[in-house]
This record gives sequence, structure tokens and C-alpha cells, in this order.
Amino acid sequence: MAAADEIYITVKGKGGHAASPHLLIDPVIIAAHLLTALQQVSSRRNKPGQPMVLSFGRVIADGATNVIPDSVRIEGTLRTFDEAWRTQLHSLLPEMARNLARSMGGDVDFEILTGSGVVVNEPALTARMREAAVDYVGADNVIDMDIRMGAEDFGTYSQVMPACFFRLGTGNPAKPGTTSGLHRAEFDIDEDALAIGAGMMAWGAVTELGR
Amino acid sequence: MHPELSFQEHGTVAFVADVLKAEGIEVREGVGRLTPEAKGTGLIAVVRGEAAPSDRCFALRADLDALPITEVGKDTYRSTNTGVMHACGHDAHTAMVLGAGLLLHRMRKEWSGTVMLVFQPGEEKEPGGASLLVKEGPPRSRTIRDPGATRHAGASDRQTRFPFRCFHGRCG
Repeated sequence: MAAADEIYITVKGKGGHAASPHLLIDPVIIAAHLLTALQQVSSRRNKPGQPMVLSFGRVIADGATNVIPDSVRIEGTLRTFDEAWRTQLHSLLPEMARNLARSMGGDVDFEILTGSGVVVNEPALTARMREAAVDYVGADNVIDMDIRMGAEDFGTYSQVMPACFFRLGTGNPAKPGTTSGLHRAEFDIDEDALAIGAGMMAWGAVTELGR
Repeated sequence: MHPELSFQEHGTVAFVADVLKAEGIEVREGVGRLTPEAKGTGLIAVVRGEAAPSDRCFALRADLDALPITEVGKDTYRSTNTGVMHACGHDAHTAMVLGAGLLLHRMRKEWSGTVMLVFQPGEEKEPGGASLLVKEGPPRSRTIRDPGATRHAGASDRQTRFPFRCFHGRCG
């Protein structure tokens, strides 16, 4: 699971009548340039093979067909796996946005809210937990998962102590309604997974602590 | 069925506390404070193994909070709190850590050491509940005694510790 930071940008221009762009600084067009230009960081500045996602899911230019607004709000999320690169991005992204906006006569307020850190599965502990899981649910039911760009507050613990984050499958195609994705109104689980999860955690604790 | 948003998990954590206390498990309530004055909606419980003396400690973590989504579906345990829903399975996480805790407590004569059950508030928010709990406890790991071992290489030794040592002074 990735480190996740929230990004809040206000693109500042000078609004007015949309028919007189020469008298204004149009923040909507600056915002459009920004959205595409910042992706250049993912494709050109990021080291190939290193996971990175920069997504903006909220863009508000609250003008009208004939009104250019004074500012545009852009909000998004930054997902990374490398702490040094993450830190570097925290200055690289604002710098790029500022230079770009200024080159067009505008400016930006660029705020990054640092979120949870990357989830580090400590290798030795994770290997032992994997063995415990194979003992408990059988080798056929234990798989190694790819990295995911989702974030988990659990990362904060994994920064200060050896930790292991495992996922428990709770969807069952044989039980309708249990295969929806997370954060959806239809989300539900196969409750048979609860006993397996509880047992697995107890078993993991006992194997790690000893009898 | 009674989901609550981040840092408002009062009913949820009270339920967890009741179940644990009824079982005779020691709990520390009110952890995970957003502000110094706030009542934290997190809880840390301690289950002790009795098979042999051991200072080893292991933690299991659950998160308590729900999301601002109106749940659909027919199940009898659908949210009764309109506009709030456990769409990320934190109710399942909480039930499982609670279950693991009861299991370990009832089998305490068969294992050694200490298990901490960590029920954290506000997983879905920034700053998340984890950072609050880590801040309230000693903010560093007491993992390694052997100064020659690196954190990663040394973690297979028998001195892995959980940092919330202030709980009763017996766990690290």
C-alpha cells in the first residue's frame, strides 16, 4: 500500500467578461495546462518502474458561459512508494505549477497535506506470518499480492515497528452481493470470512509469541 | 449496523469495551485524541498468555470508522444510520480483532507473552488515528536490543516490541 498525500491547488488569475480575454488572466486555461503538465512528472521525471500516481478528481472553475472566474480550485492525490522521491515531489510539483502559472500571468497556492506513509511489510515477520497462514488456511489459500496504490493508515505503525499487513478475501461469487468493490453503497462481505480472519490473527499471534 | 464517521466512533468503541470487559479483559479507553481536550474514540486492550513467563508482545489492529455513503442492500445488518456506512469493512475488522482477542483470552493457558488489541479511530481521515496512537505512546520502536542488528535483519529475534509500553509497564 502506497504513501498518500492530498494536493490542494488554487489557480489565481483575474476574472471578467469571457468575451474580453485580453483584459483578464484566465485561470481556467492555466488550470488546463497545469493538469496536463503535472502528468509530465509521472512520465518524465519519475524513474521508470517506480510506482507513482498523481490524480486530480476535483476541478472547480465556477464561472459561466460568459464569465471567467477569478480562480480555479484543483484537488487531487499523490501516491508513492519511495520516501525520498515523495519528499522531492513535495517541492517539485509546487515549483512546476508556480512557474507555469506565472509564465501565463497568473499564480498558484499549492498546498500538500502529508498523509499516511507507505505500508512496509517487514520481510522476516511477513515470511513467518505467511507460514502461519499456510498452516492455518492451507497453501492453496495463500497468495502473494502485487503492490497497490491504495493507502492505509496502518503504514504509520509500519514506520515505527516491524509490521505485517495482510488482506483477507471476503468476496464469494457463490453468495450474491459479496463481490462489490470497497467504498461502494453495495459493499458487503461473506460473513464466513469473519471466523477465518479472527482465527488467523489469533494463530499468527500465538505462533509469533510462542507457547 | 450502527456505523459512525471518523473520530465519532463513540457507540462503536463503547460496544467493543463492553464485550472485552464482560470477558475480564483489561482495556484502556479514550485513546486517539484529536485534540488534548477531546475524548479519544480509540481503545487498547491487553490479553496476557499464561503458559510461561515471557516479555514478548504482539499487536493486532482494527479500525473503527465508517464512510459517508448511504448503504443499499437487503441484509438484516444494513446500516441504520442513514448516510453512514461500513463500506470499507471496518466493522468486519473490528469484529475479527474482537474475536481474536476473546479466543486468545479463553486459550491464555496455552500461549505466552502479551497481545495488544488496538482499536483505532479515524482510519479514513488525515491525520489518521494511527498517528495519534503512535504519538500518545512512545513515538519510536523498541525493537532491537542487539545494537549490531539492523531493524530488518534483527526482527526475527525474540525481542520484537510494540511501542505502547506505557500501558501497564509490563509490556516492554
